[in-house]
Formats: sequence, C-alpha cells, structure tokens
Amino acid sequence: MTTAPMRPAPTPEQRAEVEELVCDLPGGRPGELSFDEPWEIRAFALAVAGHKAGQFPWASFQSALIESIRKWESSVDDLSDTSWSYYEHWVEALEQVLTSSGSIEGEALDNETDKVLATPPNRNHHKAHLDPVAIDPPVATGR
Amino acid sequence: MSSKARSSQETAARVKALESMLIEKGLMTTEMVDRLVEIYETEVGPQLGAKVVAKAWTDPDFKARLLKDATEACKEVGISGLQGEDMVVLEDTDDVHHAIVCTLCSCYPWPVLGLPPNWYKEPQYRSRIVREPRKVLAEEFGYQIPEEKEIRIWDSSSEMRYWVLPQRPAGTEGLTEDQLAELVTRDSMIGVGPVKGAS
Repeated sequence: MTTAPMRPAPTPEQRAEVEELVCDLPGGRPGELSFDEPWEIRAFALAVAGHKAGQFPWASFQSALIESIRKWESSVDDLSDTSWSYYEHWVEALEQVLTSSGSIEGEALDNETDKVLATPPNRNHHKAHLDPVAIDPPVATGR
Repeated sequence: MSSKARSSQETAARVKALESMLIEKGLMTTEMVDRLVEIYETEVGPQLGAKVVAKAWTDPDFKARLLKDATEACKEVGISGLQGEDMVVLEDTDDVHHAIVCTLCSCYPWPVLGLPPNWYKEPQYRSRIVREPRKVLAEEFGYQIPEEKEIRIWDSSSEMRYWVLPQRPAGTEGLTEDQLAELVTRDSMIGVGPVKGAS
C-alpha cells in the first residue's frame, strides 16, 4: 500500500505556526481554542487555509471577526446571552473576507448552503448493520 | 444576514458549502484543510468515551447497562447529542478483539469520541480493514493482536454507531476511576490501538 492510513502526527512547529496566527484574535489565545462541534474546526481550518493560500490578509480576517463580535455585543442586553457562539462569528468573518475579495459570491453560497441542507447526511448509509462485516478467526496454533 | 438567526445546523451547512465552493474553484485543497484539522482533531468534541470506559471498568452494574444499551447508559453520565441514533458498545475479551469502521462514509460515535481522525475517512482504511484486519492493525497501526484472538470488524452507519470497550490492563487494581480514564486512548475505543499500560 502506498499511502498509509496513519499519517505522521502534526509537529509542534506546525501547531506553533497556526497559533501564532490565532493568538492575536479575540478569544483565540493558545489553550483557549476549543471546538464543541465538527463544523467549528472545519471553519477554523478553512480560514487558516484561505489565508495561507493567499486569499486574504490575516489582518482583514481579524478585523472582520472583531466587527462581527462587536455587532453581536451591541445587539444583546447581556453579554451572557445564550445566542453567543464564537464560531458563528468566525464563519461570518470568513464569509465577509471571501465575498469582499470576490473569491465567493454571496448568492452562490446561499444556494450551495440550501443544497447541503436538502441533502441528509450519510444519505446512503442509514441501515443498521447488526453483525460484524468481517471476522478474522484465530490462527490455529496447534496447541 | 444576522448570525443570531442561524441555527447551528445551518451554520454547519454553510461551512460545508463554503468548503466545497473554495475547493471547486481551486482556491484550496481538501488536503490543506485536513492537515490543519489534524493539528486539533483530538481536541474536538467532548471526548467523554474514556470516562465511560473507566466507569465500566470499576462499576460492574454500569458496565452491564452500557453493554445492554449504550445510548441510555451514556445518558446517565450526561452524554447525548445524537437523536434517534443508537450507540452500541463492543466488549473486548481474552478471545475476541473488536474494531470499528464506516465502510461507506465516516459514521462515527462522535458524541463520545470527538472528531474522527482523517485516516478513519480514507478509502484505504475503510476497505482494507474489512479485507485483512489482522494485517492492517499490525502493519498500519503497529498493533499486534495475539494470533489466538478472533478479530471482529463492525460497520457503523448513521443509525447505529459502534465503539469498543477495551480490556482493563493488568496491574491497575489500585487506580481511581480518574486515573484509569487517563489510560484510555481514542484508538483503543476505535479498536486500532492499545490502552496505555497494556502489553
């Protein structure tokens, strides 16, 4: 097999490189990054990848994130309001920089999102499999 | 659009849409995104499986309930998150070793194990673990299953998600539940690696 499923773990250097980017973001200090749901880490990675691919300067993303959070803060009476979601703002900021750079068109994104919502996840894989799909019997040891 | 108006499900869909558009336009590759996700993948989600395993090792009644109905037993310890979907826990014994796969996509018990590792979603793992499990565990994961042990591979679907209750390592009698939980690795609950301290 040419590609092993197990890849070498990311190095501390790779991690440090990413954290250098995020440490200047609001709420992004190393150790404070935490993800509750899979889409959050996906969104996180998309922003870092977009920046690394030259789609936008990190400072633009940073200001968009600060602006989105600021808007939310002024829209609620109490900062402990339950509508708070750090990564909602992250996604909003990402959309903002990608649409203003012209990489993504807002309407096309809305349409694509509707398509995703209309497609149930794992749509072909709903049936429960009640038995093992493979059994590797013990090797006869002659004992 | 106000972010307040969006549900988490809508945002998740938006992120998925963004990713597929960016990749389709050639602005980035799945590979780039995956590599970044890998840095943090063990930090996603509640990662509560280890606690459940440690509890099962120390509390026989809980273990019995866990093996009978994992979804309900997990609720006892505050783990839910999947609606209308069942979790089944497979107990490793001296005679049988279990491992999980999703042969079609990436169905995974993420409320207990967090985010699936990237290799779990790759075609090589999905097809090969079914064809030659003993060899894949040994060659790709460096995990030797004794020859006298049977290996069973279970296919998780979105309706029924499996995960593994590994055997408690010998010599851990004096440990507390919290100390035991530290021994439980993610890979041991997938069935592709040992718990810490196990030979």
